[in-house]
Amino acid sequence: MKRFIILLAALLIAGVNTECFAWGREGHATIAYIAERHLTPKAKENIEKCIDGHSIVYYASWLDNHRAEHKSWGKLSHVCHYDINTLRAIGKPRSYMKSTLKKLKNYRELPDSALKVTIYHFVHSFGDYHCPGHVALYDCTGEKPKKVHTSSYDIYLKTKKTVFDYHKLWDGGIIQQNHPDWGYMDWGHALDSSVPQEYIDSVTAGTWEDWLHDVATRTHKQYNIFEGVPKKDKGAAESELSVVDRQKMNEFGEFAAEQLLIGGLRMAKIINEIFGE
Amino acid sequence: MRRFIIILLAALSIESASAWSRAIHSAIAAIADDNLTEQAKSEISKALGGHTITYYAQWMYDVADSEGYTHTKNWRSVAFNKSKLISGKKIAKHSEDIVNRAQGLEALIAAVKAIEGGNLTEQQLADNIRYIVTIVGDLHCPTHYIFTDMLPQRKAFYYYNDKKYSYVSYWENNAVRGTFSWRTDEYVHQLSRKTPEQVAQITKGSITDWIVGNVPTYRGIYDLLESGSRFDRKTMRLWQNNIYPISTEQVAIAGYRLAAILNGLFDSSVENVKIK
Repeated sequence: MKRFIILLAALLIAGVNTECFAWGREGHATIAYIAERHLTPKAKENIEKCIDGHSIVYYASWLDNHRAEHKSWGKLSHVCHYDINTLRAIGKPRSYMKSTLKKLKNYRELPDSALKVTIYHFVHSFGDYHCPGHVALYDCTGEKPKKVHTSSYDIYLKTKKTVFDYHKLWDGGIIQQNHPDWGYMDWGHALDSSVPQEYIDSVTAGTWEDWLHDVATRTHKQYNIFEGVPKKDKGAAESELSVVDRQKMNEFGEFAAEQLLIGGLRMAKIINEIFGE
Repeated sequence: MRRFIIILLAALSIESASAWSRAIHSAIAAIADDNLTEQAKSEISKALGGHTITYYAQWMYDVADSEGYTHTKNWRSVAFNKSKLISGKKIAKHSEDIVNRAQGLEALIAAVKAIEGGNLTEQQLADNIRYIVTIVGDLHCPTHYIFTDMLPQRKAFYYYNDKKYSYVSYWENNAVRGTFSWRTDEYVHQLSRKTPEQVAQITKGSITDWIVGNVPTYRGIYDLLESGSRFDRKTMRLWQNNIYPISTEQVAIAGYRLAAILNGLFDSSVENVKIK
């Protein structure tokens, strides 16, 4: 009987066919929305012309929704890889972002359909790469890079009294659990109503590779996500798992919120540079 | 305990019993509100006691069990003999009960004519505005088109993770929300962005033209599901990718058309939308 009630309550809260991907729909939409708020009129007009008049927010989760439709999309890594010693982006995810940006810079030469897909990829993946759970650290001292840390393990989520996938906690779990009633416009209003220009200038200084380095550095060192929460293999006993309590959720929530804001501001800078001419 | 279960079940059934979900009705009304002229908005606000049309987006459903309003349960759909509109007395005379109840277009026309005719009490004026708001939304929900040659298709179903779901209910609840979890103002941000040329195209013709013009698309939705299909998370996602571009567009179209009707009725500088 109790299980039945819990199931009914879960259906009420979650709806029937909900899905969860990196940052979740709200997180991706928030980053794109914050970006949109910082676009120059010219850049906004130009990029929206390329995507049939839609907002970039409309396509913020397009890659998650459509990833199974094309072999190459399905193979894409939504997690960014870093050298654990330098915390610089490496490997295929770096190359993918580099080629995506190169295509965008030459967007006038792309056929309409290819341009649309490139924009969809960019607005999604750039958000993904600002998600702390999407940082994977590799030891590059050997012949081949060897995965050292990812967010793929279980934690005990005290606020829900349940074992929870730590990756999924960042994949929308934190922002949804901390603010279940907020939509992307609520997030945009909350995070982006009075951001000083000095802050915008500081987080958008440098290159996109510097920004990824910043994401990895903040994730790895400043917040000690991987070191502060010891890893456990999936299926470890509950008592062995790292505990994420209310205080930790608050800290993670602050970090996640700042990443949403920073991701949006940086996305705007790129779009303004490319489409603002 | 039993009472708690009943409340939960009732809460679950609220959405499934409604055409479009409450969120979609609100979205359509909010898009319309975003496209009202200042004069129309002001007149409507006066008529609705200071409220917006979004506040009353699903009002016709909310009062459907109240005394004096139970007949509105028949105002949620429209029927077609293949692609030919069933109207007037033919609705009541039809052998199928589901067609007898498909009086949505008749009710919409009556509400528009009542406001055009004037001489309404405050209550009558408010009610007719609220009828229009809900009915225009319903008449842009594909499953609220009853095609007499396609009645078996209305019983189509699918399995998601081995649980059975009705296709008609999917359209009413998840055709948009299975992909986008927008709030009302977010629907406006996403969908109230048509160019003047696009709006002119959407609102071209009469109310009846709009309803008949929807038919090819709305019949087409039954080609999108083979009844009895089984989906897991991945295949469900792939399937839904064929649906959300259609469903979101219908929400936008309904919003613009609702605005066109209301602007015509409440702004003297705007031409009325013709009935036929």
